Amino acid sequence: MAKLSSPFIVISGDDDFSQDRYIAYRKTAWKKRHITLRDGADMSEVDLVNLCETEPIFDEGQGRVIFLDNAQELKCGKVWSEYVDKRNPANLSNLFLAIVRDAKMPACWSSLAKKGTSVAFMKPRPWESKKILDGIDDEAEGLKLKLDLGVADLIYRLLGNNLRSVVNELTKVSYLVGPDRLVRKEHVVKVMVSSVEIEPHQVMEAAFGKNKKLAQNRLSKLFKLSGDPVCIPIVVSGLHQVEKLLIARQILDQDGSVADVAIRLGIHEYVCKINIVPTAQKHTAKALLGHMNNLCKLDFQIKGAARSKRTLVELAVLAIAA
Amino acid sequence: MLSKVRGQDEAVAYLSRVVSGQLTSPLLLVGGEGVGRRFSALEAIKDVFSGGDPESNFCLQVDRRLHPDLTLVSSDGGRDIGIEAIREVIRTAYDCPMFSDRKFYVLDGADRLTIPAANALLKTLEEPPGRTQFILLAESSEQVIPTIRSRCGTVRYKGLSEEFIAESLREFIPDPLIALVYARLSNRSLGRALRFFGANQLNLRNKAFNLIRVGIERDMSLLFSSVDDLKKESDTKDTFESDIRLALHFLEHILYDMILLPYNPSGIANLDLREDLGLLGRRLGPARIRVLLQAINRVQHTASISKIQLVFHVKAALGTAFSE
Repeated sequence: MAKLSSPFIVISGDDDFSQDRYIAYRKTAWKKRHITLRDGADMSEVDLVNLCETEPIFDEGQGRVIFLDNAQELKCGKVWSEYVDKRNPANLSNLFLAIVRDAKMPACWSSLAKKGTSVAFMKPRPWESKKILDGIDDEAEGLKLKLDLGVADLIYRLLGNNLRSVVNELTKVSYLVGPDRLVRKEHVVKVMVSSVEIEPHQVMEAAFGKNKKLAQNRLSKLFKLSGDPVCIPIVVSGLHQVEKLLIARQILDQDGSVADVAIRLGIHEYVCKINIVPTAQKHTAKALLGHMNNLCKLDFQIKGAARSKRTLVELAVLAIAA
Repeated sequence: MLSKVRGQDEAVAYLSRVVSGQLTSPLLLVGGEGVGRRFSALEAIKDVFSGGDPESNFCLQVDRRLHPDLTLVSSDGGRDIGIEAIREVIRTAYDCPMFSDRKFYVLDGADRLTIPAANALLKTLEEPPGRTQFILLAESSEQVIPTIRSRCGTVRYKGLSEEFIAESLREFIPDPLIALVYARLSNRSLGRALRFFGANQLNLRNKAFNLIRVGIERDMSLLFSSVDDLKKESDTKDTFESDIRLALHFLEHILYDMILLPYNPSGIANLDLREDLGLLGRRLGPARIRVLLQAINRVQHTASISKIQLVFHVKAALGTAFSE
């Protein structure tokens, strides 16, 4: 970490694992200081200012650092901003570290981040697969492991975008590898089982993508885990998707561009390009409207007294994927 | 005072007998929303409590629901009336009146009583305490269980005339044409007309009309966003759904107007949109109008019997009807 220029540090982002690791590292680095841990959910703004203004009882000049976890829970206003303005930035004896466990930073902490040091740990988005794979490689390197060709991809498919379980599983694998520290696919398969959770929308994604096998696999896995109640979210997600696809298809039919589709749907152009547009091109507008009507009928049936709701959903998924 | 109640002569005649003490058996006042059931019942009670003096403090107490001899149980917010509320009614029904020689229980929502609540009330309705009178209000007598229905004298409230509603609205709306539009859109209910006016629901009606304008161009993207646009009137999901239901009601009126316009231009509900209705009606054609009406009726029917994803159903129905 670069030399501090201010007593205020703000850690933000939705990647809890990296945040925790960074905090553990900072605690070790600052072990000579008095460390005070507080949670934003249990404090008021005034409590926080009082805490920052008081000195530890047995302070012998080693300084102090206050960790405020879940800072997003604490609503700070005038009292806190007055304290921050009053504070001498050159005095680094009493450090304050706010941990915002959210992708969005509340206004008071973002203004503090501008005055002090800011570190952000964001989870890669689902479409940033290269970044995720690089992250797996980095973690392996941190454990002094080398990944064979395709191993990072296999780990990603098995564990998804979950750095914490990637590190846990790689630690297990490290006991199996030979002296060359090379992780092969067979090592991975021995240790890891697929823990990627299936979401209802993924069933319909596969169905609209005309991937019958994947749609059926996901559907049976979902039914196995959640039972019949999952019928409703599947159908609702289907309705949401078919609406988007129908809009995209119609814009494309009118010679609109991917950018037009992205603007109309309010999503990122890249996501639109790799996801929505190729799927929409697999259907005609008329077919999509038909699917929308069928899903509406299904929505009514599964909320009524239909006997085998599961079969009805399976048939609808197959009809879309066909 | 009962003299304030207008347009419901038959009901007023029954309630006058309640005021005079000739009729003491439980009454079931049946009529659509906003036709004056609760209003007339409370006015009759005021007559009883005040002895016909409109300046009496008792009238004010009834208006503010503070009179100790009046208990009003209602199913506000569309919730059912449960057994707890009815047990409380039964417990206090045998107490003596405090100020008047009679006490009244008004159950607004007899069609919303749960089965245990309705059954608990049967005995008391069968043999009500001597100085206690029950007045039950319901939108539909079919929804009231037969055992309660048979224990009450049923008074039916008819829908109010358009002229009467429009005349009443003129107090708030200077433009007579707009007052008549509200009166016709309200399906003969003054309460509903006032509610529409209070919430400026002509905006929603205009948005519903816009759905046809957009749909006729067969632009799904614009049609779907116009359906979503209905949401801006409200915030929560429940109010959004009720706005969509209302928009469908307006859409139905608009389509009927398109059919009626060539034959009886002054008989349409949306008089302020007459020219646009004529133009769009000609573009749509009778066959398409019929298809649209069928689609809307289907959605309304489905929504009335199941908790469906109403927005998607509306989008699918309109999308299909316009693209056929």
